[in-house]
Amino acid sequence: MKYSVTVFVLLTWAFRWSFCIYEDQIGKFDWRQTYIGKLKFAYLDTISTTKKAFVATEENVVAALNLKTGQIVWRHVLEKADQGEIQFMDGDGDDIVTVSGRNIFVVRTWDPHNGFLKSEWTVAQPLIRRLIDIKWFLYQKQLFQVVSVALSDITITAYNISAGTKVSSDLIHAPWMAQDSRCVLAVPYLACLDKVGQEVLLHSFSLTGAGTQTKSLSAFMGEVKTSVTLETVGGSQPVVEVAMVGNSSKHILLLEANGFTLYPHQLPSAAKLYVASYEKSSIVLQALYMEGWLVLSGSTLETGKELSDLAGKLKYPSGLGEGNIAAAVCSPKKDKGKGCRILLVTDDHAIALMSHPGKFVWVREEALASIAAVEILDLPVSDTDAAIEKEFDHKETGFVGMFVHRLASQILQLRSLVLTILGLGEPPSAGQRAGLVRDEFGLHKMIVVASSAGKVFGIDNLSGEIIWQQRLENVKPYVDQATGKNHAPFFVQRTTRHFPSPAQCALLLRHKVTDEGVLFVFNPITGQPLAESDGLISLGYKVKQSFLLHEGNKESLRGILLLDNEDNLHVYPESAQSVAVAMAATIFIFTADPNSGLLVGYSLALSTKQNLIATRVWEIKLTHGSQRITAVISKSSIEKVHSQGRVLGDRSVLYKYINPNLVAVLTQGFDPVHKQFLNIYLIDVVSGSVIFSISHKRAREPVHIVHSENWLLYSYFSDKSRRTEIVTLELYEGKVQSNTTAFSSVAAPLQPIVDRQAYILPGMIESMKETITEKGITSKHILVALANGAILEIPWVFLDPRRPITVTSEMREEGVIPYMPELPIPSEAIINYNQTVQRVRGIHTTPSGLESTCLVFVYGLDMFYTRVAPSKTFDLLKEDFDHFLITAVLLGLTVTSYITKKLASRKALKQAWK
Amino acid sequence: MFRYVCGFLVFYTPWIFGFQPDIVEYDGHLSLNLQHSFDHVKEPQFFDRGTVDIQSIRTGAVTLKQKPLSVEDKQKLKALAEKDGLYRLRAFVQALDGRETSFLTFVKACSLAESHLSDILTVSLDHTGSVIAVSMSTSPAICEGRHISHEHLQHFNTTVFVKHMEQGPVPDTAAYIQKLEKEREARERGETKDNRSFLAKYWMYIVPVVIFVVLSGAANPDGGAGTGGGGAGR
Repeated sequence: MKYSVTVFVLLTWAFRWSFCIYEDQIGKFDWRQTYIGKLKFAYLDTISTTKKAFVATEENVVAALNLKTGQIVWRHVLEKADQGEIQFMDGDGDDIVTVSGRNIFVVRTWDPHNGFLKSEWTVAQPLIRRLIDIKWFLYQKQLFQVVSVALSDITITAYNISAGTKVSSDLIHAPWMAQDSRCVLAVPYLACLDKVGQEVLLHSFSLTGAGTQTKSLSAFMGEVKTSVTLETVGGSQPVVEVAMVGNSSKHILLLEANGFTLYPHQLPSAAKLYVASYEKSSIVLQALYMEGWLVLSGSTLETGKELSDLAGKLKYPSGLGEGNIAAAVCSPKKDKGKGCRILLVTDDHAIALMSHPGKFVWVREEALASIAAVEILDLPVSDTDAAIEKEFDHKETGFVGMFVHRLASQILQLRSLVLTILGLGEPPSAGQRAGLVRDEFGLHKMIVVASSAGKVFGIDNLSGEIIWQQRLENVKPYVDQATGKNHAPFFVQRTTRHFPSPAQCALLLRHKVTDEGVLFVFNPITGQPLAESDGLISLGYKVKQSFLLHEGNKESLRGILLLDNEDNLHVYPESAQSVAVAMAATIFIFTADPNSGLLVGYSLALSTKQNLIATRVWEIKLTHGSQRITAVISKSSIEKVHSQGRVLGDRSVLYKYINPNLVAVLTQGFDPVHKQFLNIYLIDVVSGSVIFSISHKRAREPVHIVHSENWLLYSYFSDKSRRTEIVTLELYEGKVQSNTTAFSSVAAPLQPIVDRQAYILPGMIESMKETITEKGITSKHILVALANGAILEIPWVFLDPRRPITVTSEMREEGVIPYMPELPIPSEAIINYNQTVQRVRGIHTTPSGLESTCLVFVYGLDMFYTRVAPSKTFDLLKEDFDHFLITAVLLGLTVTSYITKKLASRKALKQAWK
Repeated sequence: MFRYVCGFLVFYTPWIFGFQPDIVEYDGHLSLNLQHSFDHVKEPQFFDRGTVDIQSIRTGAVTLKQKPLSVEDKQKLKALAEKDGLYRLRAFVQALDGRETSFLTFVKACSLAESHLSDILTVSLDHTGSVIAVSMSTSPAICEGRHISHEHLQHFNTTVFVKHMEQGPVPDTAAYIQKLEKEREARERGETKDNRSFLAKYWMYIVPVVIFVVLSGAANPDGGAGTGGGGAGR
């Protein structure tokens, strides 16, 4: 018991002294932004006092947005993946109804004002063969389920939305309906196209009255040779659009009980349509993109008469992709005429509200909810520092030249000082004005994120404000074959340290259609493309592996080496070829195929001056059967290990096994003996040897791995004990260090000693990452994003595999705490206090200019930024440090010492006279 | 002419691998066909080197059958070593179900020559006993550019290690609970042996004394440099 008391004291003490902030520090170093994801369904509510837009998204979020500001009024994140996939959402004033799930549909009704859940009930998906699809709609306070079965019938079931009881069920006989029939809902009708020869028939069923009408479209479409598309036009009326593929115009039909009426005009097929009700009539809103402009118009549905007060044209922001009208509402304006509010959803996942005709009211960049790559970069130096840097640019000149430069630059500085005082100085550059300059502690940085939606953003890390954005067309990120996660390799080719050359980054993406590699080369501070006109370079081959060279060329630009599918090597830019050739003898590449489990190592030693040649030098096959490689984790390339060993209780040193070429490979599979198992291999990817391997039975995803310094940490869900377990492995060379200068994979086939320990974490893990600092002196902490939205900071001491069950005095001397199987989750260690971060996909850590401080950026559905100081801010004065008091004390002491000196000399003089 | 070079019995040495896997649930026979290449080109040609028979993967008993190097091969190896080229080895492993898997590994030609053809083959197995990797290294692994005479490049002196996969650790709750139980019992018996260090035991007495000494030392104006020593002596 005494031990546990000590441990408890130690624990609370250890946690208290490193983390947690005071109440007045909330929001000082951190910010959070909440998102909802790509819009799927929208419904505008204009009746209540605070007008809202209700949305349901592909991230399984149901939310209400304030229509004036675009801010989230309330938000609910439903279950993950298929289980929470939203199939339908609509509202009817008093309730918002959502249907979510895949095999079992969960129907929920929400209170529109506060987002409270009012009722919840489930419907099982009917098990029918030849099922085409299931559609849902809300009509007169009832929820309808439309089940279409190929070559058979259509069942329509009505449910009471609050109780979930079946109200009625109708069966419509439709034996002609094929598996590929295009049927659309245009509430309260279901319209299907049926092509018989060259004649197109439109079947329309009234879903409430159960009457079927079949009419030919030949009257206005003539002979149909190509295929025909049928789409619903959203809005208050049952309207569908019919178009022939390849035709430039389309027809609009208003469905009625006895068939349909044709809208008098044909519309361009590219036009986005929506039917909004206005007083007693309906208006067809039309939006058309024309070379950077958005042309809007409106006309009455019944007569086709164009409404002059709804015609408009506005400049479309280049950062936004083309959009569809998700919802619209029209109302009379205060002065006269009408005005509409249109909710747009764009290709790049943005949600925008337009007041029609006129301007954008707000834009939500929902692309930030699907971040695929993150990098945090230093800002450039200020103009004055840049002038000083210029001085050292001339490397060739001797000391006389240097002296002249020094004088010249100081005269220039003096001139600019005088000019600034007189107010005549030249205006600062754009970056300077915005305050985007490096600060003395290197805490102000630029977060560059690439979204799966094909958008790149530059975000100020202190304010969270978007500084720049670039939309990339026809590209998509790479998809991890095993886990299905999006990722885009991000290369920092040149940092901001190489003034006057601008910083340069490259993002590797692939073409939407051909799958061939595309590089986006840009300046990370301004977002300006640095190659071609749009920065996109088509590589013309499929990329298998890519990495950055260690050294830069003459312009300090580091080249990117790309391995294509035919094992040919390419360098971008061309000018880096010579650097690559010079280093070729020591460059090794490896590739991993998740499905076959084949790892292949290549050497570039055979390269000639003209071209780089990759030769296979090792091959290993990790998996067989149903096993797959699900993760390959290498160490951070910028990591520095400060301490080479660990001092033990007996004052001897246990040297760390620090192999920069070590990569952890995770394979997962299922077999009847071991059930769900996972294997972890530590592989030296230069020599291709398996350094260590470990296997866990009855362990399954989510698996998260952190690999750093001389240790590996991974978490998995134990099926046997039904809990999350964390295993840590630490690798040591032993009491002697094999090579004190540099590590060589080829020359050192040594077997490390592996310490291991397992812990229980009472929580589900979404993501993990280690902290990183400039010189690696500060101790490492592990940041764990939990499923409940908390980010937990665990010191490495708690995860240390050397924690012993019974403590010897020697162990105590070493500073290891006794083993406890369960890791605590103290609320002081939650770095995001009450700022819940949902659906975390990744954590990015980066060193700041201060050794003690590490910058943390958490992304997923939400974004959260903060900074942590794992060993406390030992190199910073506390912000409540009393400068006044210390100055007063110092002054006081100086004054007293003078006075006492005077007094003492006077006393000595008096004594001498005695 | 084939020649038996050596048969090695390899154990899991705890000082190298931490600990031996608790139970190796499998056992069997493994046969590796080795091919090597001295070519310094992208697509090298491989020639037969010999076979390695692992009679029991549990014990690691091995029979090796390897041809001595021909004069031509010796020359090739030396030429390759001079160019700082890579000696490549291909191993074909017949799995229990008859499928053949090939593995590729390499060492620096110079280190193979300078170690007088003393190489180590490590065969890594996964949790079911299937081979996942065959990797080669030399002992000693040095490249100093020494001159090697032909008689040293006669026979391969191969050592084979079989490396098993280890069982992952699980949280040791039982031992922890046992420890707590023991402590509780000891306390009930009233004989908790306090084995903490002197400082840990009496820090609450030492700290005030030290503070007192420091304060009194600072308060004493005529102390000067000697105060610290005087305080400690008291």
